[in-house]
Amino acid sequence: MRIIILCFLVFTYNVCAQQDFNSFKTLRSEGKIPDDFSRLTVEKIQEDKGNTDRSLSKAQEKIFLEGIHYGIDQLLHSGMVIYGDEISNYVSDVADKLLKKKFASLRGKLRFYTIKSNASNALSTDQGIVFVTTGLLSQLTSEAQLAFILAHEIAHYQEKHVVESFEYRNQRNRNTIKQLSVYSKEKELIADKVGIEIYNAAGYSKSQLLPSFDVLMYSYLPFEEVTFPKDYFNTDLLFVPESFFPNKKFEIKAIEDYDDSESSHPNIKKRKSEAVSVIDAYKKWGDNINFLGEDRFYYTRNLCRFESIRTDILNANYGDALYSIFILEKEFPKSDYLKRMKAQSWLGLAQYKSDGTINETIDRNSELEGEIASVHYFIKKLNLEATITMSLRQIQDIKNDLPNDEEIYSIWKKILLLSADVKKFNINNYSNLTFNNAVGAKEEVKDSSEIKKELESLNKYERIKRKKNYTDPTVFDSTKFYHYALTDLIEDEVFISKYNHVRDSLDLIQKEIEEYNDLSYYEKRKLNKEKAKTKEEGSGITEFILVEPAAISYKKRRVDYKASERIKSRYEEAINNAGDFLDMSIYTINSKNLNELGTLGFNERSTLTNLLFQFSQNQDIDVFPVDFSYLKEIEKNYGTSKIVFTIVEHAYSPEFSSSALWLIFYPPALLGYLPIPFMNGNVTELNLLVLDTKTGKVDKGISYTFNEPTTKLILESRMYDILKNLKN
Amino acid sequence: MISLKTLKTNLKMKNYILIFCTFCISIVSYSQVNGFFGKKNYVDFGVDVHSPLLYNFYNALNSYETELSFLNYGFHITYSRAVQSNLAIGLEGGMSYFSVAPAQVSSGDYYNSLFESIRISKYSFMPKFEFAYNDALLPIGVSNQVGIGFNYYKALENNYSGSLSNFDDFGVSQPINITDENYFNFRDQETVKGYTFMYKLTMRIPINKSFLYHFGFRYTFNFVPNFSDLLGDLSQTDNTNSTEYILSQNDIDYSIKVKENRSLIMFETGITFAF
Repeated sequence: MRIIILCFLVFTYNVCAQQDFNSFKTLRSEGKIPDDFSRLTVEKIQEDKGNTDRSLSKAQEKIFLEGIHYGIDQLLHSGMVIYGDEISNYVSDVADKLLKKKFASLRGKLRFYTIKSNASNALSTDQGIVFVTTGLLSQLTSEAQLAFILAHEIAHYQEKHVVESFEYRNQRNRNTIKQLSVYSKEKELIADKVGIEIYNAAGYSKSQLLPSFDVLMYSYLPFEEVTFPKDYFNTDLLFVPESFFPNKKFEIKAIEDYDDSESSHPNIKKRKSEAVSVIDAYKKWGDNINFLGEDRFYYTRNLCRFESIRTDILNANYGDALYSIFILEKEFPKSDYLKRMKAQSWLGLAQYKSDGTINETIDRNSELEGEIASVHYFIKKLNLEATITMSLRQIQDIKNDLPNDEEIYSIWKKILLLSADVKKFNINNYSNLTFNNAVGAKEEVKDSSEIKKELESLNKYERIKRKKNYTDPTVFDSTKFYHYALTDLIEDEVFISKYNHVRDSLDLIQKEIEEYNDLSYYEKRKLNKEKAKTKEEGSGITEFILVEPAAISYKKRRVDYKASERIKSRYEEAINNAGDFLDMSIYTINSKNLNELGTLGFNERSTLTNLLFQFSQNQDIDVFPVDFSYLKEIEKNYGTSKIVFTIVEHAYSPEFSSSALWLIFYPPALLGYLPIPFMNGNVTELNLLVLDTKTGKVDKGISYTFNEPTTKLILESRMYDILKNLKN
Repeated sequence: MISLKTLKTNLKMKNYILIFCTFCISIVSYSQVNGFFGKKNYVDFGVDVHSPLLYNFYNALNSYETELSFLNYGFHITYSRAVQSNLAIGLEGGMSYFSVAPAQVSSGDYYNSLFESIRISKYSFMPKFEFAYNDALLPIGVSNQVGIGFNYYKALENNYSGSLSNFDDFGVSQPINITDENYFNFRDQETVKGYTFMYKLTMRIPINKSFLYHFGFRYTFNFVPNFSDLLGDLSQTDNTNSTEYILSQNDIDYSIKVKENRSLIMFETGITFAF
């Protein structure tokens, strides 16, 4: 009976824990925070001292341990890594199945975490951590393929390739790219060989081995290769002419036998060929493809695919995100998550287009490959007015679908603001007829291709006049399809009134700016003083969330990790002391108090770090936070929407002027000169950023460069200055 | 499947912070609040020392029973007010001591005189301004100070000794005491006036929220006028102006001029009180 109850509990737990893709939320870490995340880097280094199993000198060991621990800890705390989630657990369970027989002893030494990245990668570290990216998992077609990739990574760990590579690189005359490439490729082939042994011992089917290499080769393409229909965007209110889509296929260029002379990995052809000979050496093979079941594999893969959309938006790859949404919409047409992501993508596209930086979000012509090229091609074809219209149309449709959704409403407000701000977009240019109705309304309809032909037959002056006064009612220009895409909105009084209100407000601001610019220096100064006087006291920031301050100390142009840790600790204390002094409430989320804050704190920290990452993509864009709902939770938990990110960098490097060499001919002057570079040798740079999750904007960006050391009181006085400014 | 290096390159969040913060400056205005924890007024109490070795060697060789002194020292006090985060104005008063070797004189029956180094006190007053580069926040950190002011010099009364030889003695030296009014009248001596130009490079490091430790180097150029007189005195062998005293006011002036008409580098350290 107990067993039945237990089974029931386990079953219900699994059912409850599973994500409903219709209301999917990006995965977060779960359970107890692992030591890898909560322990301090210095502790890890201390513990590993003398345990590298290699004949490294003390100095080399120090460099090696600092390199791997600080590097990996940086990754662990980058906001991209999650633990205890369904994906990590799945990977971990596959590892349980994989490590059998003589490899079983390895299991206890390994930990598995997921990186939210669309790069198709896996990585093992000397510490026994194996990372797998969501991008890789979303590309796989079976559990066995994952098993082989894990086996390959575990082989790297078992064979101590990380430390071996370090030793190799440190030997004389062995550090050219070609030499390193040859060495690295040898190690990869060894890892393939040992990986196949592990894979075979676990009883997986050999049929999945060679396809694993295909996954790697084509992983730069989206997770599915499906034709993007030309009528995808067409609805009752919107019609996009086919001429906006390519009339050719974009060839997939990847080949197996590419030049790998400077690569870290052998090309796929060589790997496959080596793998075939290893596979043939084993007589006995299992036939398992999915030990954990097909359903669980596909479920996990879908989790990764859903995550990939968020990652694309985080990286401002909106074209890729729209293609992935298109693929997943077929299986999950009611997914609110997909709708939200679609709205965010279109908003992003409109923002980048109006900023003139749309090319940062879509592929270059030379990069267009496969079916996804249609989406990128389409986006490229849209002019600013068309992009804003398409965005407004898509977001409005989603808003109609989810009228009470706070996130969608916030996105909608942003697109409304943008459309009112862009001069080229004028709602008065829009027709109250839909595209199809407009076509039908013309007695003689001519398409843009016909207009083009007509124009070609005219001389230069007639052509100019014709273009300028083109009001022929019988001619219908399909390239202006977007003028017929907002028929519902232009008749919606509420929308028009809001649009006009925003436009008037923006005009007023613009007018004020122009008037201010016309003022003389003294008039401006007077006005600023008056404004400062009328400013309400206490209207500034009195509380904020401080995301772990970062500190980097350089010594001889290299990062001095220990000194960096010391400065970081001092800096954090300085910020808190200054905050106390000014009676401000500071809620700190850092790796030191992760044990205390637990997984909740870790997740909050990751969300905020991702927010910063998203903002960093383009500083001129009023970005919409991809993790909107989690940010709202944080705002609610802490009672503030102000997030502070800060970093301090320090180097002591006296700079001697070359012209000072002449002073050796007059020693007293040299004596007088020498103290100057030494005293000015400290260079400290302090950067601080205040983000407001409520407005999604940067409240303050502060940067100081000063010639001072980084003592606690110096940092504290700096922070006092900054915080006082923020407060007032 | 990938190298750690590649992955790390993709994940350098800190670099993004930097890049982002740097760019943000262009879009968000910000001005610093002056002062150290809001304290814009500060007083420096300092000691400056320097080691004029060459001069002191010269001094020792040309003085009577004078020990070689390695260090000269002085005190100063400065009040400053930060008018901007990187600009302050102030007023400095200082006092320092040094020794001079009075020139050898031949007066009346005497020749080949050697005197013990005479201690000179110097008082200086100067308005000065202080500035710092980049995003300084005075008074902390490295700053540059420039001042132009006045110096006042006076010989200190003491039981100085010396030796004199006269022709009658056939060159045999006789110890004398300079305080003896026959030799120099300390009480009625005139104050020597001069000008000073000062540049100082200072580093102030906070000790607590009110006090800072400071150190730095002070470069001064002192100028005692009437340089023509000084040139005239360079070949001084006969102190005709002074018949009453063996060592005259001119001798003291001359010695101060020789000592002071040169630039000096001094190490300076002290405490700053901010309020």
